[in-house]
Amino acid sequence: MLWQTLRAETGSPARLISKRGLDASALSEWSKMPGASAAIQLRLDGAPSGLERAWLRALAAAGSTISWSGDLAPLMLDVRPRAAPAGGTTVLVGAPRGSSVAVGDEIGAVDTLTTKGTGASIALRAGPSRIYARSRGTTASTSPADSVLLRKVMVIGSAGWESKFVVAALEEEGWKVAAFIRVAPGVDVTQGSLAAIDTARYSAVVALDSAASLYAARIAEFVRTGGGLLLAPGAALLDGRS
Amino acid sequence: MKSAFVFCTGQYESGDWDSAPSLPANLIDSMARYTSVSVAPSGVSVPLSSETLLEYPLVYLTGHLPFRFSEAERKNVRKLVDRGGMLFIDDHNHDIGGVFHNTAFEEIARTFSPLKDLPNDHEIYRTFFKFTDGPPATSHELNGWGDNLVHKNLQAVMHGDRIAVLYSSKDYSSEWNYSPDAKRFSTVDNTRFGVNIIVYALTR
Repeated sequence: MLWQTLRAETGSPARLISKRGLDASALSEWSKMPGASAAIQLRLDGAPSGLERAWLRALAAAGSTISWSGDLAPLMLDVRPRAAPAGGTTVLVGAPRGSSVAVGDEIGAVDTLTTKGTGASIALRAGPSRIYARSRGTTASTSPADSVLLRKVMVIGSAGWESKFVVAALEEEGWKVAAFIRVAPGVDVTQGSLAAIDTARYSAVVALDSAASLYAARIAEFVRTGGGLLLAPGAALLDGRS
Repeated sequence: MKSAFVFCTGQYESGDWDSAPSLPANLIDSMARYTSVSVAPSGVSVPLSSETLLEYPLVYLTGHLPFRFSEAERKNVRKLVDRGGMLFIDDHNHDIGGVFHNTAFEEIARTFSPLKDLPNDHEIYRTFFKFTDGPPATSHELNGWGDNLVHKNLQAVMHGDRIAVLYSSKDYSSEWNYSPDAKRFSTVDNTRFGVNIIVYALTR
């Protein structure tokens, strides 16, 4: 029906329509123009909505030539669930340096970010179903992807203040932690229920020092299958093939 | 660079904190002898009121005299424990009901919470060496010195499921206060439980 409504009659000369801004009444009017396709030139001061873009595409498919000009603010929005036990959402916006970007959710405004470089981010404790970003008349919106499935973190290191604090800090953030703490050759103090190092059981391995050398091959396989790995300098020197 | 474990003796204002001067070297020797934990060759003595106290995961306290923290010391040892550190307090008098014992119990209750008996199957007794009967008896206890008792339990203040303050009436401060060179005359190294205490403090 829409196609038939918009279809231009062949052979009719195109009319030039020049308009500032875009609204539903203009789109409706152009759709009902009898007998001729048009060359529609738009001067925009804001990004068209999804409905308006679809409508313009339909007009173009019906034979009209659509062109636009304007100083539109480029804006990118991405929303990701935070990979942390406390959950939440990280909102990433991309816009020219110094842009002021208002971020909101379905309830209302959340914060206004000023981009440094080409982007800015904000961490939200909640996981809203829809996020909006607005900058100089341009609006972007998106929904977060599915939540992240978190498993335990394994910490491997030698006995000491450092390994103790790493485990405590992770637990304080809500992570479930399993730990191999090397005390002497052949003697490990273990924390939590330990299992094979694989992605079904662990989200990430934190290797603090040479105590991880015993598990280097297993850690390398874990990473190859998608597991996360955080290497402290002392562990970064280990050969993963050994 | 990973920092080594440094044995820390706590200096408190009220008593004779330095009554077991050879104990640190002896336990440092034991840690180096039995474990692969990186250990600094010398211990340090740090005032309990100093911010640097927080650099040490285990702080050893002993003495014979009445034991009381100043307000600054009390505040700092609380901070140490809240951040994951552990206090090991040993009565150098090998008696019960003595001045150190009574005042230390009061001060620990005031600063943290009352001490309670630590079960003899607690994991500190198997963290490195195995002590199936709980805390090893000292020669002073076996010789009938002091209060003529073998104290069956250590006491502790827990922080969650972790020992925050470990208290001993067994006088390990006398038992371990000798030159490490003298270990060659012993059939069994009597500092082995000291290794357990340090390993526990470093891993829990």
